[in-house]
Amino acid sequence: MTTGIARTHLGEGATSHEGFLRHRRFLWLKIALGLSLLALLGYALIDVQPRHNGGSWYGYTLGTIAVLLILWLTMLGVRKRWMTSGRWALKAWTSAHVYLGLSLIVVATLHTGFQFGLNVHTLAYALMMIVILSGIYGIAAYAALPADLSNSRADMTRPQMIDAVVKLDRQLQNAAQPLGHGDAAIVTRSLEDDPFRAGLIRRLSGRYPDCRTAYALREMRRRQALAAGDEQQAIDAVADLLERKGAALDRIRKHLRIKALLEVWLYVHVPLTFALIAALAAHIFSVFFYW
Amino acid sequence: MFLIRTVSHSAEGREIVRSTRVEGDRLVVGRGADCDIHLTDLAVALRHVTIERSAGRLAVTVEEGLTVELNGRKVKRGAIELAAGGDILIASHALRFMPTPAGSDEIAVNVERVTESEVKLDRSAERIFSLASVMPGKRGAAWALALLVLGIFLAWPVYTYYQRQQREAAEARFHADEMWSSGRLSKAHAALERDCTACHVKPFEAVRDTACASCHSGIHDHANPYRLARARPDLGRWARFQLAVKEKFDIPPGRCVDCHTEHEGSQRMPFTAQRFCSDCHSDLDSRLPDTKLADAGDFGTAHPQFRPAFIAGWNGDRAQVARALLSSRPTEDSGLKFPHDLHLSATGGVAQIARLVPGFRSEARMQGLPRSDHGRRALPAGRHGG
Repeated sequence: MTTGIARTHLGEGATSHEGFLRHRRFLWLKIALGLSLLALLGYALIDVQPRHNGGSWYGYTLGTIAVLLILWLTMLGVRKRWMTSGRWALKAWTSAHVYLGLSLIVVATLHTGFQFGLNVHTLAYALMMIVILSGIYGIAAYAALPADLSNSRADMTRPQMIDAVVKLDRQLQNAAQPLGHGDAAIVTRSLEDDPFRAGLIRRLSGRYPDCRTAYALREMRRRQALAAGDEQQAIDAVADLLERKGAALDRIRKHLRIKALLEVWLYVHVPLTFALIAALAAHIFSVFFYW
Repeated sequence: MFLIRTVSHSAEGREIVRSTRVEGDRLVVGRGADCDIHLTDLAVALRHVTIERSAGRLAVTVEEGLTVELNGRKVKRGAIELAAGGDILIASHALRFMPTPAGSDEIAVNVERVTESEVKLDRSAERIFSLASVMPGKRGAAWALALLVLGIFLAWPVYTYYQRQQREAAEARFHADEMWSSGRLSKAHAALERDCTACHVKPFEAVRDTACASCHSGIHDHANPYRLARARPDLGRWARFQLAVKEKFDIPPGRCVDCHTEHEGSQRMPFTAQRFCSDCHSDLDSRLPDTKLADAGDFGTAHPQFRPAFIAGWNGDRAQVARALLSSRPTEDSGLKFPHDLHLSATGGVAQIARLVPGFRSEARMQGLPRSDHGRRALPAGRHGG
């Protein structure tokens, strides 16, 4: 899982290029594994009557550890806005965030004692698991996608990609001048199309079935067969430009897709974290209310 | 004759005016290169509108199927009074006909592009490539979700609780505080499923024995509380710590629910572990030297011989009850015979009665015997009342 993020390992003194997963030779992975093993060992060895659940002394202990972990993990959102270095560097925090977050799967699951139901307690657990799973997706995306992102640019910067479309639009504007009113309207629809207006589904799937440029190109190709003389020449030029615009749009859309795949998990991870904290508040409050 | 003044703006905003003259009384406006006024907007038709001078007015004739905005109104045809002047808007271009005195031959027309039809893509590239440009903000979603969860799972149940305080009897319908239940109640307590406050009487107060006793009124104390306290083994350090924590959280020691746990699922109430008996009874005589009970460390392997009570004789019409060890082979002179080999046989006549008589079985079940035992062991003595 670590390749892509942390493949540079230049030995001592070069730790600044070390990814957050490998930070300090997996220090936080070891700590998280230790915590998980300890929790498992306690679960196996401690004889709680009549059976393990969140309300036994061991259950309360695991629950307290889990809630403190969750609150601390949430602090990454605050912490990332400050710049520090060394032991408290953001990389150290991120490393701890990832591994301690994963250890929550063990700690919180043992806290439940595997008793689930349609109640606020299981809601908190389910929200936590969704948050953790979205985080795992995020790490996988960061490991796999950035290489695609730079490939999809074909050595162009983002403003250059936009500029290519703007230039083609300007050429289309001129080339379409001799076209009749109906044809001009079709070209105009392509000109008015904003590739960045695409919503989440479009961006994630990379499929644009109602792309106006593609539609205009199909129409112009059809018209090419019917037109003659000056008009045919104009349509030829427009169709050629539309084809190039389609390629430029494709490049932008590929880029949009990878960006969306890289960013989408945060729209689950962050809001559901707050839903989780609210559910935890209700969970803990309810336990004491009906003590 | 028309004087066409084409107005455009330089990058710095300076006005640039180019003037041309069109001879004659007719003006053709469109995108076609042969038009008198040539507009490069693709929304303009090749030949869009014709304007013709006749007497003191200009007749405006739009091509079939098209429209223009004449003095703010969308029209297919119309007229402009020369003396008053007027505006025609075609797509992104405005044509302004200046007021012309009756005697003048020259009509001045200003042509200006008023709206930019080209798609502007000069927003910050970083932002528009990001999902943030099309998604609702994370912060807003976080607040909304958190408030939703707090509203449904915290505020609503608390509201239900206080609302129910006003009512006499609990209703058998959904109450929001059921969402707080950590598991179904045992079958014995199933009727209380929707009435949390039957046991959780006061908020923030751990379940008290009085809640149990409000239904289980016939249950007597296990023993005299003072003797019970003395019979308890000395607590280890860990147990003392646990007790101290419980005290901090206002949980009294030795509650019914400590052994008779609930919310473990819709099943028979879990058996109380024998540990809870043997904790005290394995070496009871060391702490209660005057006890008549023999030590019992395990129901199977470390239990003293039973000493059943029997009627030893009569004092007038009062029976004199005595206890004797089974091993001493006591005989009761009651005239009744209950040979064990007959009554405890799994295949004998008694077992058949147990199988055939429904009441017999259900009686056994209510006493909490495992199903396999229903036929074999009928009605043992309850564990309460040593």
